[in-house]
Amino acid sequence: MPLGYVAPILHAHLPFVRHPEYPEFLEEDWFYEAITETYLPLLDMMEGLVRDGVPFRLTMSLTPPLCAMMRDPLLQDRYVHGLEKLLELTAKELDRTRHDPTFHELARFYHDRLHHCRTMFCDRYRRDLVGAFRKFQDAGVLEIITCGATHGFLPLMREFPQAVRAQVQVARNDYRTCFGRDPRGIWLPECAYYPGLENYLQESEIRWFILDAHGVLYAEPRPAYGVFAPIFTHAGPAAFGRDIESSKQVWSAEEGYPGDGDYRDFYRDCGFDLEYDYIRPYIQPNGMRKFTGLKYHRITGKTPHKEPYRPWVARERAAAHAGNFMFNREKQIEHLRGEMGVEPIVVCPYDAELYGHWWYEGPIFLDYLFRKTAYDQKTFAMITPSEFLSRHDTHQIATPSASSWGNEGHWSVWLEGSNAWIYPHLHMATVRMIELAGRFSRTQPHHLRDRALRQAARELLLAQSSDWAFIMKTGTMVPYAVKRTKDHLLRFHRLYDQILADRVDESFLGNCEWRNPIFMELDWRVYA
Amino acid sequence: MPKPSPKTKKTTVKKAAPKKKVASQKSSSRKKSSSDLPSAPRLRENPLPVDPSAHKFVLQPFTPSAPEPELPAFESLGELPESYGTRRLFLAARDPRWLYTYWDFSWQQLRDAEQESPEGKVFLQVFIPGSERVHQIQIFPGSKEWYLPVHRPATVFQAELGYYRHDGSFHQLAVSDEVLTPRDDPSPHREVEFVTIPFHYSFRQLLDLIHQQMRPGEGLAKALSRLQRDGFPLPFPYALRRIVPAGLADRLLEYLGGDLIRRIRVGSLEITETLRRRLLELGTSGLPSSLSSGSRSPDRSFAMHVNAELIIYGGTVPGAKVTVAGREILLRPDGTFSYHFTFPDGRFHIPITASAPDGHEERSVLLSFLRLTDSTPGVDPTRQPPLPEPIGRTA
Repeated sequence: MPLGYVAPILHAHLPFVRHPEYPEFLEEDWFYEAITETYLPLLDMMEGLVRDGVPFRLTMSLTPPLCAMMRDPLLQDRYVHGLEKLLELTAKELDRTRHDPTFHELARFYHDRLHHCRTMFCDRYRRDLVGAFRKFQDAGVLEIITCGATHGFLPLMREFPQAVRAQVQVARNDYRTCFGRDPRGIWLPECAYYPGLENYLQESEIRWFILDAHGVLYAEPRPAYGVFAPIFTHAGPAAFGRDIESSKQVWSAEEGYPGDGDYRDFYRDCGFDLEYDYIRPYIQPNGMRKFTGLKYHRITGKTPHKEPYRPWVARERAAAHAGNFMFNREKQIEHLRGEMGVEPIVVCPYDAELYGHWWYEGPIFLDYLFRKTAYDQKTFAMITPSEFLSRHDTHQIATPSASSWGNEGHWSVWLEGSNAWIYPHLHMATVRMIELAGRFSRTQPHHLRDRALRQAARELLLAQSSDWAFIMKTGTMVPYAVKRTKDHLLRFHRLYDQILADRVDESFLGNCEWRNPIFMELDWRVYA
Repeated sequence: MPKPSPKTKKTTVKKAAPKKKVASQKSSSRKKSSSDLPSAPRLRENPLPVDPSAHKFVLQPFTPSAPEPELPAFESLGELPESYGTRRLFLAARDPRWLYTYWDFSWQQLRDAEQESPEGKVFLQVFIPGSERVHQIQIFPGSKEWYLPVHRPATVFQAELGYYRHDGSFHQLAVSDEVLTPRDDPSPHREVEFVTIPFHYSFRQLLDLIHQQMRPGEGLAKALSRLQRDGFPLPFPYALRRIVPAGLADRLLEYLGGDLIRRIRVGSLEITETLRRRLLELGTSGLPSSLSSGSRSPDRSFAMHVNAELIIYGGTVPGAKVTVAGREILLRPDGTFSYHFTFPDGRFHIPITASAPDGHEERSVLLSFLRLTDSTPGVDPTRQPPLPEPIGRTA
């Protein structure tokens, strides 16, 4: 029997970005880059682990907007088109670098990887990434959890129970559509919690959620086992707290792994480095440079001079770091078990996109970590929170503290000078949506009005995405976030006026539906 | 109206023009004799001069903006209103130290309230229900929101907006919900109450099992715990009592203590980006050599860190021009503005002026600040997020 457990959790999320009105749209690249660098490598990793019979457990949230994008034929087409263009670029790079073995090898490396991505995406998974992840959940090695319907920041809609309920229930219903069962866990958007939120989770039969460490450590009353055991909220759902030590050891500025000089440098990219005429067909249609994903340098060190990337050396470093991470968890769990007298659980949540997209070698690190954990030690086992709760069903009752995992631990990332202006508008739209649902939920069905009500709910949900406030705060791509917030709200208000006046403009409604085809079965009565 | 970032094919490429000549020369030489080309990639010697900020949405922040395309007709959705006039007062506990409030009053509504008031003044007041008032702020038509320092964790607050009548009573125009600031330390309450909640029973099944025994307002877990303590028969085994080692909660907090004091509370994305920047600054290799055993408490030598930032904020009418220390700043659609920057030691005089949209009137204010730091050894500056440098420094 292991002395304790480690629960790695990856939060995979991107806001719903889909622009059929433009032939290419820069912000869609967030999604395409994440497929190539994170989602496909993680799937590839799991394929290998299952093929080799390695016992492992991983938990991932796949948020509803991300699932909607994964299932969207337009975005699938555009992803394949982008891959083809990149393969064309790597073919040119093979030719251009043929007299330089170092860079030629790197060009070959990317050419092979992109070919592999195309094979996986088109042939193995038939473009269905949701189905690909679902397969691993059905095989019992991956637990997929849900999130808020559009990653809405729930504490700032606390005054509107219907809005919180809609974020939870619409997400649960979407999860059923995608994965054919109910979600058992939820990644609260931004891990943002306020006391009372658990009641909405209970309504949707969601059994557990994740909080940052202080959300559990400052619970009322003080949890006897700190963050190393879940606590049951009064309503029943359990809260798991993020382990500080393992977070720091992976990501700390002073000690973390991803800054190793042998790892690939994120910011040196051919899209910015190569001569303009040469790279012109592979950057933005308007001629602005952009990331291509072909990055030929390693972090090297503090010097601005960067050495060429060496994938095989980086792989060795990832293996060493996985060994180090495992060793530290062994020591941590031995110590905790001695103190606690029961099996501790160490919960390690991260953004999924860190693995691969930002930390290019992250999926390799995870692969080694799972393999080493399975064969090189017996101190701890990997587990999912649901498995833990099914094995250990007795825990302390406490009310977590209001908290988030953002900077400073509360709401200040999403409520400050750059973004606070959105809340009066979001709240007004919420009030109006509740008014509409209250007025029409008991009337006779009316096809066009129902469509308009459903679209109004979609526009409100999309406006609520916490990503827009986050982008406004962090300062780049701000006009896009501002425009998305305003556009969804303006579309909502126009629909509201038309519904109340019983004059729904079908062409306008159709345009809204065409732009934002998400939550196709959404029941707007959730706001009643 | 912000311009959309999509770049249509109509957009020209003026920014790239200066490079074109050189590049096309090289292109033509490539056509002449591709085998003579140098094989080394023509990569930049130095990275682009960027300071990547802490977020996941990085795509092309490193180059000047392209000319904005014309808005297609289908993008013309209008503008959001300045206010809705619902007379709603919203209050949020942003963190253990700060409250945030906004009020949805139109300019005219606040103006009318001022005129109804015997003193001609409208106030925002924040109080602890049943106890003291902690803030009283005169607000003006056109103002929308306020950030309120309270520095009281785990305390209930409420806000009201209105004016004083002749008899001294407060005429309330709006009142907020009550809000609770979060804790900023572990609870002093240490009672331990366990409950068994079998995972294979749905919440609905459990509620059906015990709903007749539940007390008003009692949660499922609390009710189950009470019933299990009382030996109530349930169709699943449950643990009656568990012994927790004495002092365990304190020892675990101590084990985590160093980190909590340093408030490592940033999302992993932010950490990794901080890491990238810090590596450039510090020259650390990121090697795991310092990642020794996690089995003992971290180094807990006593330390303290302090720092300061300054936020200037205010509001005027939409369309006005506002300068802070001579720099014109962008107003939000409702006419409010804020400017947030580092606040190191020094003397600062910051003139702020607002010019009416027609340019015929001006309002101005001079804010002066002095920061002097005098500390004992062992006090370091708290790390700050990337912020603009201070303005208006005179000494």
